[in-house]
Amino acid sequence: MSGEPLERAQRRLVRERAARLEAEAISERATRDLYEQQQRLVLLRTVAKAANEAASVEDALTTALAAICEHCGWPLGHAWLREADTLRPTGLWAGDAARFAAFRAATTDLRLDIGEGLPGRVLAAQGAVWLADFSRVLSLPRAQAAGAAGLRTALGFPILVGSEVVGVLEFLTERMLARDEDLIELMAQVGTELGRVVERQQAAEQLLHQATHDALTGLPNRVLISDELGRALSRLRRVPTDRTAVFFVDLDGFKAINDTLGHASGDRILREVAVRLGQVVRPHDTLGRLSGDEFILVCESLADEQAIAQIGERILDALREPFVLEGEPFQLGASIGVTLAAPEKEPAELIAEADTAMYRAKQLGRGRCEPYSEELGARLRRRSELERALRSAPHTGDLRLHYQPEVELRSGRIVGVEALLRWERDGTTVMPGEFIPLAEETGLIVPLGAWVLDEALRQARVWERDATIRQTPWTSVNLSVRQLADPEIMTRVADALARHESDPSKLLLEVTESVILEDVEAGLTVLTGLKQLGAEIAIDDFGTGYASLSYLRRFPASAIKIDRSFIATLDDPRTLAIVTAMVELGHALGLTAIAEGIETAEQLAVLRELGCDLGQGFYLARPAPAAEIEPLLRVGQLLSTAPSS
Amino acid sequence: MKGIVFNLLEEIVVREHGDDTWDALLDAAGVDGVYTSLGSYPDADLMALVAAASQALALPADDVVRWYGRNALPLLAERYPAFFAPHDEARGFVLTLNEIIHPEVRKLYPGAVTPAFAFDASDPDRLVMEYHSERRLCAFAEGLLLGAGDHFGQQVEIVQPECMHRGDERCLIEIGFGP
Repeated sequence: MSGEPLERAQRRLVRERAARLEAEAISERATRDLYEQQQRLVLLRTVAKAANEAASVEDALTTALAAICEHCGWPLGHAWLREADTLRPTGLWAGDAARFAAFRAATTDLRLDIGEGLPGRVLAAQGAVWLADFSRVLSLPRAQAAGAAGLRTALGFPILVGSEVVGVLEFLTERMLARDEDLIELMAQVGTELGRVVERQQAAEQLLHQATHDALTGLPNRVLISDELGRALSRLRRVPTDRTAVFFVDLDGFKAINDTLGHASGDRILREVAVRLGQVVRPHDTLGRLSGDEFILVCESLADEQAIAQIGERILDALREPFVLEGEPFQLGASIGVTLAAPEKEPAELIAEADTAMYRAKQLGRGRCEPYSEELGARLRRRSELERALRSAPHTGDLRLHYQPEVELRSGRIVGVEALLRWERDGTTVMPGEFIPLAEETGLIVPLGAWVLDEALRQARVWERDATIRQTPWTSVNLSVRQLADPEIMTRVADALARHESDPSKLLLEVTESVILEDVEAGLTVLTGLKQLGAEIAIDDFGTGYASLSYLRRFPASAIKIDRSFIATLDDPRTLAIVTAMVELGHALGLTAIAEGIETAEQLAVLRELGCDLGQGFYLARPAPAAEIEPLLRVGQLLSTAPSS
Repeated sequence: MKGIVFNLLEEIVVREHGDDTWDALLDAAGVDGVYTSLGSYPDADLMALVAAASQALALPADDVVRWYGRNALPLLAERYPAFFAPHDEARGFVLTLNEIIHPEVRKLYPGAVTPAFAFDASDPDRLVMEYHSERRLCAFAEGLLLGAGDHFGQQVEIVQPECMHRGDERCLIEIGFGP
């Protein structure tokens, strides 16, 4: 015992006060811990509920982002999802969206690789990353945007499925905060919880994929093909002019492979077939496997029926190549049935039709593509026969040139003849409208055009030498876009001129405005080259193209041919105004104006009145074979009387 | 008023003037002096204590409150170091007051009424803080600001162009932080 009673009392007081402070501190800590524990539980419950009930990953992420922003008092949160080895922003944000608009904009187009930016670092670490004062870390892609927004602390943590990072959540605040281990641990639980949602969605997608795809080839199965066909049909109901074809492809000789070499070999063949067919189809076509060695191809938006035959040919070619099994080549091949979709049909109906057609292809000797309907078959046959015949036409002597005089309107003098292609097939004339488009499509226009040029120059030479023709006219020859794109065009023209010892200035090459629509520079280069050979250039069908007038300055033409559609409607005052302007425009640019399709005396009179230089048309002279034109050339004059001026 | 406000006041008075002074203040204010940081007590108790101190020291009440605030800040820094650690200057710390006071007080006392400060930080040289409270303890805020200056070793200059004590709607506190 020591000290006075007062001193002891004071010591007791100090002790009591210290005890009170400690009791308070313990209690405060417990209260605070309890509160924080409760808040964490609230957050985890919210996230778990979202994970269980959300209809999609996006829904769950949205809920979690908002809950975490509220829990932490952080003003901005965003979710990233993984795609292969990169992270892409989901556009799902929580917090003060308006205030951080610029930072969000800086995020929108980012794709972050492993280790890149905060999310990329999370991906690399497979765990949480805490960055304090991160706007100063200049290597971060958004450091500048973060600095501008005043954001200073960032936390990123992974969404995990097992140990795989499938996404990253990031949270940012303007406050400067030290690494908070409790928070990071809590977020790890959130990340695992959200991982369950991603895993569930992945499983659902995989189930859906398995249910709609063939396991062997990975191609769509009957379910998905029918689905796609149904979609194509409803599109066809909206756009009835569209063409959709369904091909049924069945391998020839596949059963033998399966029986002799076993199913494993058969499976390898089927996978190879899937690959080859995949190379044939266009990106938006649907290729699927029905069963066994049966494949289906759905092609939408076909340009014309000819494309059907072409696709059939490509498939046959692709499968005709030998398949190699254990070093041995095996020849297979395919039989194909094809049908055209019609709006009133059902998917199953179309597959059955194509199947029926395929069966007929087998019966007719395999290795071929058979259309389902007689009419389609007839049309395709006519078309392919026409193409075959056209291909050989320059060699069989079935091609003819007719000539139509081009006349000086003032004097009636014949100054030129336009060479026009005619095709005599089995005694009847096939009209240009029927075979020229086919020739353009198939590229046959190039050899045909070469034949026309050669024949026209040959005939011109004959007339040149004919003493009874005092003034030989020039020859006009049409050049198509396809011909001008031919890299050999210059050589072809130069060779033809040389072969017939022709005067190049007596060759008038007619091209349409569309020649320079696609590639102005290339078009002008070729035309300038032809002009340099000495030939003259005329702009055909003038006024019908879409080219702007500015090209006229650079077009090396010496004449414009006013399109027949204007001449036919000359009685319309507005057409008259247009033609007047065209003639004046031509003259102002030093071009000769030629009117096409003059069919009446009235049209001729009006054109003369307008000062149009030249003209051609039924009223003046119909196109005719060289022999019938020659008498006109000998006279050299078409209009008996010159106009009274 | 939260018990800690009384506890800090007691701690400072006892430290500066001894136990007897605190007892005398309690007697003069007519309050029983049983305060724990876990409880809440009438605002009037604090006002009475301030009035008693004001009388005893022959100082204006605001000066007493300002002195109390300035001395309370180091004690707060001692009890809650985590709120001070991330900062190296007073301005940044002051700007986080809303984010610290609200959540922390609510952890202990659900439903507590806390003062709200609105800041205008657009001028880098001076911070404008708006204070609006029925308790009209702008002098306490001033004291804490001065204490924050002490803590970070900075000069703090304060002017109040508007004050509720002078009949204004609110108190406007303009703060200049020195080096």
